[in-house]
Amino acid sequence: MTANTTTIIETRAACKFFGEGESLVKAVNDVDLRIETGEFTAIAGPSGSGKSTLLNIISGLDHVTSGKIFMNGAEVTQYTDKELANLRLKHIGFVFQNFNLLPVLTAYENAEYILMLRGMPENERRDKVMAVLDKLGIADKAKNFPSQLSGGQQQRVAIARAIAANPTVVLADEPTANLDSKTAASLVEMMAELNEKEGITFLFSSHDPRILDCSKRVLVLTDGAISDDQKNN
Amino acid sequence: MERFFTLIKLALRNLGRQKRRTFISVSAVGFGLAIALFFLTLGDGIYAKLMEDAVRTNGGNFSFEHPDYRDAPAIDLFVSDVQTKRKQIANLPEVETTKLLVLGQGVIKTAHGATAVGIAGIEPGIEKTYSTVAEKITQGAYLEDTDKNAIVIGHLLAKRLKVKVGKKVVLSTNNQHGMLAEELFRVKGIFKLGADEADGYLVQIPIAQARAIFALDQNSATQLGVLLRDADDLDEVLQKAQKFTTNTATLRTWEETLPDLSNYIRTDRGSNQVFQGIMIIICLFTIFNTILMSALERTHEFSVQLALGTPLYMLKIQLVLEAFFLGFFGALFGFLVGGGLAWWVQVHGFDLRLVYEFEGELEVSGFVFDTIMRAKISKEVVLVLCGGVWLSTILMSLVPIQRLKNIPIAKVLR
Ligand SMILES: Nc1ncnc2c1ncn2[C@@H]1O[C@H](COP(=O)(O)OP(=O)(O)O)[C@@H](O)[C@H]1O
Ligand SMILES: [Mg+2]
Repeated sequence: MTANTTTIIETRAACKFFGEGESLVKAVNDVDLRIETGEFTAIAGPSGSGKSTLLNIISGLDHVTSGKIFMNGAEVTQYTDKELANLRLKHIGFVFQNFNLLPVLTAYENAEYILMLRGMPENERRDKVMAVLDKLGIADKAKNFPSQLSGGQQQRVAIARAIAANPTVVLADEPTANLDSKTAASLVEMMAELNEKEGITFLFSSHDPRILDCSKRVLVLTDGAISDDQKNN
Repeated sequence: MERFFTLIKLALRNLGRQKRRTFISVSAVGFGLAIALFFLTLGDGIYAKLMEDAVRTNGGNFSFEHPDYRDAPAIDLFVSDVQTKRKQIANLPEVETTKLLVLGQGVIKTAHGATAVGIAGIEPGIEKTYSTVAEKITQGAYLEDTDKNAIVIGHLLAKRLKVKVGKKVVLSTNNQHGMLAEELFRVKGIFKLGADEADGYLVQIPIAQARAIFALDQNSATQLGVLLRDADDLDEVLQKAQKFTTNTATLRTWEETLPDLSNYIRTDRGSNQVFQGIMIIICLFTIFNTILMSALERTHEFSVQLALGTPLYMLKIQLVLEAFFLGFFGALFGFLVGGGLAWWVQVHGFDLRLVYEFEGELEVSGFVFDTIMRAKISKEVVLVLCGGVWLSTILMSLVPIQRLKNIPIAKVLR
């Protein structure tokens, strides 16, 4: 195994096909990819190019058709569902396109959710969550329920939830797609800052050119295959 | 532990989120439970009252009888040594009183005719307190301990024989040795129980006279009846009483001495239970529907929770907890409403005449009863009903939690 200490994600000839015969869709087709700690990488490509599917097989939300995926050197394509759940809980922070906060929990409780699942003691949790909410500028919304928050605020809570638990990597599938461009820009700025200052690794998908400009690295997917891999600056 | 509290919080808030639906299903199952609880405890109250009236008037909650008497009642099948036995049994703390009965058959005669009667030799002092016959005297008066050659008869018998209070009648029968015995009595009272069988057939005389005509001694009786302070103690007392049995005295429960009533109660209670059971099951379907729906429509949310790394078992516990609380509130609702109603009817009583129309008296298997009914709440009924509803609700959640593991998370979150 090529367990490079800094490589956190590696895919080898990863394929994910849907359907069969006539209707076979090669959503992810033979992707080889390495993500190192500290990266701020965007997966670009038009709708239907396989961005979500690639993120899903990396996080184990979906199973590969063939190929292998490694996380911190461990082959997660061999994992059971239970191990995958544990992997996501311990190592992956998620940010979804449509926020996906739990509606019955407040902003604070949503951000706290993963820490709670991990069994972190209450007082530690409180400090951690309040610090993160504060950093994201939504500490004053801690007691609000998602329905009482704007899209931008909800997505900040989602980012707070994703990073509060210090994940190995934050996977974000089109995190700004449901936000207006101004909110989107400030959100990306915030993620970039978290990457710069806290060293949090981000792998996200987007097809918004302005957002791709902020990324250190842009992988371009075309019909499920990586067609370009640019490093900015 | 903290995780568990979070699950409780999630479960309760999820119920609170669909307030209307939660309210509807809680009240549906609550009402079903309340109705069942009310009618079952009312039934139990009615049966207890029927039984109580009947055993007081007849042979007690249980009695000592000659072992062969039940199969072929005859005057020579009597319990001997009743006085000692009576003292022994009266010493048990659960026993309210004991009563002696001499029971035989004979013919009553007047100038207008003769007819067969059931003769009961009774102890007036005791019967006066306990028997419904004493309460139902419509003309004249009931027997007293000091009475000699006095008789009380039913109003139908009085009509047939055209006798009035104060008139003379002759009782004729065979004594225990098979010899003919006749005795003159004066009608002291006429009763109207409302049940034709009793009103046209039963006569009561003081036990001393009965012993005399049947040639029984002071120490003999057909039945030594035992009345309990609390009918529920029956099994316990039966065990204690077992040691007082002899070759002329065996134990008979009221169910054996009053088989018609006992059968009536058994079948009526059975059909009541079946009926209420069906209703509860129907109401449980509402709650089942709620549980399934609320799980089904939250597939997306569950997918989010699973994507975030929530262990499957925790999600399962969350759903079971939701059902746990739903069932709890339903059971509580039913308990408060049904139990409250039943309690009211237990304390204040409820006149059946408000609901049913009776011609004359309320008669069940030849026994006449008061129309004021009282519920009888028992721990068992409350526990079985409320616990059953609660438990079934919890069990229902096992259906949707089986589906959780099959949720295609990636597809749902697309
Ligand atoms: N569950 C699925 N079943 C069938 N086809 C799917 C499924 N998920 C994705 N696809 C197909 O795979 C391709 C890639 O989809 P997706 O990864 O969602 O692209 P993107 O996120 O870049 O828009 C699309 O053609 C899509 O229709
Ligand atoms: Mg997508």
